[in-house]
Amino acid sequence: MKASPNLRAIGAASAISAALWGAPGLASADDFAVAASPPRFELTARPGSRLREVLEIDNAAPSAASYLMKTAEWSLDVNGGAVFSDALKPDSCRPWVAIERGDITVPGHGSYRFRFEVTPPAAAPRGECRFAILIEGKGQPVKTKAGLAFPVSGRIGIIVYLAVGDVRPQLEITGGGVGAVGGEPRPVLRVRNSGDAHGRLEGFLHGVDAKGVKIDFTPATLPILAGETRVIPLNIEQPDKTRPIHIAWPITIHGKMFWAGGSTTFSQAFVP
Amino acid sequence: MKPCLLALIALALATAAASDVRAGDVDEDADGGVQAVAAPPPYVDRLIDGGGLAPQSSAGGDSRYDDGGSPRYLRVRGVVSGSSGAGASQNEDGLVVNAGIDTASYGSLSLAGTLRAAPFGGSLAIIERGLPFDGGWSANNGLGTIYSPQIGLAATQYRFFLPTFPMAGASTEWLRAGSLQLQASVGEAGQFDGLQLDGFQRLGGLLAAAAGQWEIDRHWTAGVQVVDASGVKTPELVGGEFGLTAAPVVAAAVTKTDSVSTYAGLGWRNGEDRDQLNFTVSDNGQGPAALGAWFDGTLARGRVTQNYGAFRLQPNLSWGYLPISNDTEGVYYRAAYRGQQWLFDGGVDSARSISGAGVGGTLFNGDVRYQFDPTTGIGGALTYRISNPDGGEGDLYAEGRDRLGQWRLDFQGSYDNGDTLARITIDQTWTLPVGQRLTTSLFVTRERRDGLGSIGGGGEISGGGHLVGPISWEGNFSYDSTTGAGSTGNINADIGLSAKLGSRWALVASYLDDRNQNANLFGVTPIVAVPLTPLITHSSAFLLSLRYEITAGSRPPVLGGSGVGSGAISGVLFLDARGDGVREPDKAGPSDVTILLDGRYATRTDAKGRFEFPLVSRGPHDITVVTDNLPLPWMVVDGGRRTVTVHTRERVEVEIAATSGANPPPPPATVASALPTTPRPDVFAAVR
Repeated sequence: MKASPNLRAIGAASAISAALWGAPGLASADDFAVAASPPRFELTARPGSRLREVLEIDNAAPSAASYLMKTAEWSLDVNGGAVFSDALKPDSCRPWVAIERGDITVPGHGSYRFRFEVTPPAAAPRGECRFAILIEGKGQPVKTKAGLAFPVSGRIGIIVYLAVGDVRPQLEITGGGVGAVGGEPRPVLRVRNSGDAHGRLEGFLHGVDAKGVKIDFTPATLPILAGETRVIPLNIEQPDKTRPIHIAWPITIHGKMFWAGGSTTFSQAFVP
Repeated sequence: MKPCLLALIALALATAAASDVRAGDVDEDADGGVQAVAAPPPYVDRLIDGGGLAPQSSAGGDSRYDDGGSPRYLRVRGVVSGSSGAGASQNEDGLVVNAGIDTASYGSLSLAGTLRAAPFGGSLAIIERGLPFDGGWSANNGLGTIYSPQIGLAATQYRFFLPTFPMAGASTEWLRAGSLQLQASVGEAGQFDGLQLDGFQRLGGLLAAAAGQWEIDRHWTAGVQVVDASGVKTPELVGGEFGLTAAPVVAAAVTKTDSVSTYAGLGWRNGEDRDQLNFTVSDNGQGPAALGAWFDGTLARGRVTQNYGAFRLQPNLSWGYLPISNDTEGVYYRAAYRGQQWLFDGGVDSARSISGAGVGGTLFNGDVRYQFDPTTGIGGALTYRISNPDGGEGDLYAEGRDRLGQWRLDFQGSYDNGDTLARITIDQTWTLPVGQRLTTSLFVTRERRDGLGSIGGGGEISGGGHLVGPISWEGNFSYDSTTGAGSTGNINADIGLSAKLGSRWALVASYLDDRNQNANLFGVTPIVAVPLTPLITHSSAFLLSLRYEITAGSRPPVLGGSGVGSGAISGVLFLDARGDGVREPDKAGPSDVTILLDGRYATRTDAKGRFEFPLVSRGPHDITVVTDNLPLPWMVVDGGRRTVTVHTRERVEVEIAATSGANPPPPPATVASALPTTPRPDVFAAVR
């Protein structure tokens, strides 16, 4: 069994945390000063074998803090944001998961190495399943100006992909168009994943707009889950940050895109 | 049915904000009535060993935290250390004290002091930053063993830098909303010394400086700086660390120096484009007054950046009491293209002696990289020196990442003054669970030195991470048999352990051992060949450090601004001998180099070149390197300046490559982490 957690900035987990505030505007972020690393696990396991991993949890607050730890299901909304739920899904692999404990205390400015195990049964079918590990602050009462008190807690979700067997994504570009990204029109692709593992697009894309200006693009690295079709924006590569690039439509983009175990050439005109 | 519905709604309102556990859904039944559908019970996770696994948490935190008053901190570190080498040994034992308080009305006040028992010495600096005044004015003040201040134009040089002066005295700086900068300082000149604990050697005399910089409009900036040194006993500088460049400037000891030096600069900036004209005049009483003038320019268009410049530094030029590069004139040009798949970088430097007494030469270099796909790239670099004697080096490499980690295969060759070296190296950074790291390197070398040929090889293993309980480790071992005929090989080993012993205590212990450390042909190709001689036959060092730390206040002392939310910045300054901007296991880091956050908060690199600002306000911040104590021939471009954006609870990792002049940083592995291009400052010193 091999684990290949994708080590990225802890901030990614923090971003998830920010998106998951139970009651935005009611609680200060300082009440839940947690960073977790890595923010994502991409694991490979053999049926019948046990895999143990470690999640490092840092408490940036000066005082000790307690957190609830549990697993959860998750899915992606249309914008690529993670949505967590507790109810066990029919194909969930959470029953294969064991966590260290359900309640931890992390010293102020300290860290905690939280362990979890995944043991796919010997008869586990080939495929990729996913779950999340949630780190929840214990609710702190927050009072509004009207005097109402709400228990509020912050939460971080750590996403885990678990591959059983030799699974791969198989991405296919099924269409393209122009969509709004951050309020700006941008070329977007519709990408279908007919494989049995999640995939992410990477690539080198070159465009020429209606004024003949050459603009380079990179596809957003949103995950495309197995069996899903997802809209992937093409982001402008901007070598000179002081000179913003504005696309004169239509624009023709060509180049090559890659994902784990595959690649494709690409050429398309985008018209708003 | 109605009471039942109301009860369910009340239950849902009471619990929705607190928990994931949902009240049962409410459905309307076929006959129009309402009934509750039972919610599934919450999923209960299985526990490893039934929940009996012993926790692995670091000590730390402070259950007695006092959150009253202004944010403040106190750190006291006791150090016992020793080193030996070249037949001599030295111990350094003492205390380091850092304290600070962030006030709303008086800016931030900090104290940094060292008391060294053996050999006796110490330093003490009290710094006040951001003292606010009406009308958009603010002030920064310093007292004690400090560095003299420097205006922005003098500090933000592309090719050269003017040194600042360690001094025991006082300094003040007044700023008006970014448009005006006024500085003054006075005190006794000196030098910082010590490996683990700073001391301050007094040089006598008086050093006074005054400066002003005015931002005329959004494009133009002008500034003047004057330094008056009288009766300063100039230290002997052999391979000195001071000068307009980071290159060796050799000067004999002078009993006392009286000199007046003036710098004037005029800068123009428009986005990434900039041009800057610089003049310096010095009169040190040892000949006629000397003039230095140099021009730097940067032109950035899309993916292409060009740097160009010319210089003329007359003989006998100095800056304050310090000798700087002089008796040289020349030009340089550099161009870089950074595309998605192709990266090119190339340049030429040419310099000659004004008086004819020095040497001159021309240095060409270029590198190219092609990225096949997001995980695999190839590249090469070539540097050639036309001087006396000629020399050069080059390499071809392939690198990539896979499930095991990151790998790199490198073929290198070097020719210098009749000696040759060819090497094949394979490096691997292994993928490990979070909190652990391991890198390995293996190489085979064919060498011809002083007419004798040999084949050798070696390797390096470097790792670190959590060990057990609150203890973590970091270690390195390397062996290189390629050290010339009759040699026993280079062996280097070091190991460090650190442990948090409680909420406020931490212990660090490390040991280092070097045997037959030898010069290496790679990375040493200035215009003038450097003789390769064994540097150290055997040296060792140990360090034992016990730290006590306490913080208090309504929020921890967040550096770099006020406001809610903080993150951290950590990083490493490494010696990039290969000049590729990639930190490899064989790239050490210089210790005790000062790193500045936003030009106002300082920390120092540890024995591995690592540094950290543990609490930094969210938003953009500048990280710069104070190059004064960077060992030769290493240098960083533009003060190693990195602009990073810190988000709440985010740790930003910064890597800063110090390059030798002969080996500029080529394109980085990714465009996003591109390093700035660099010229070769050592050229100028070498042609003296």
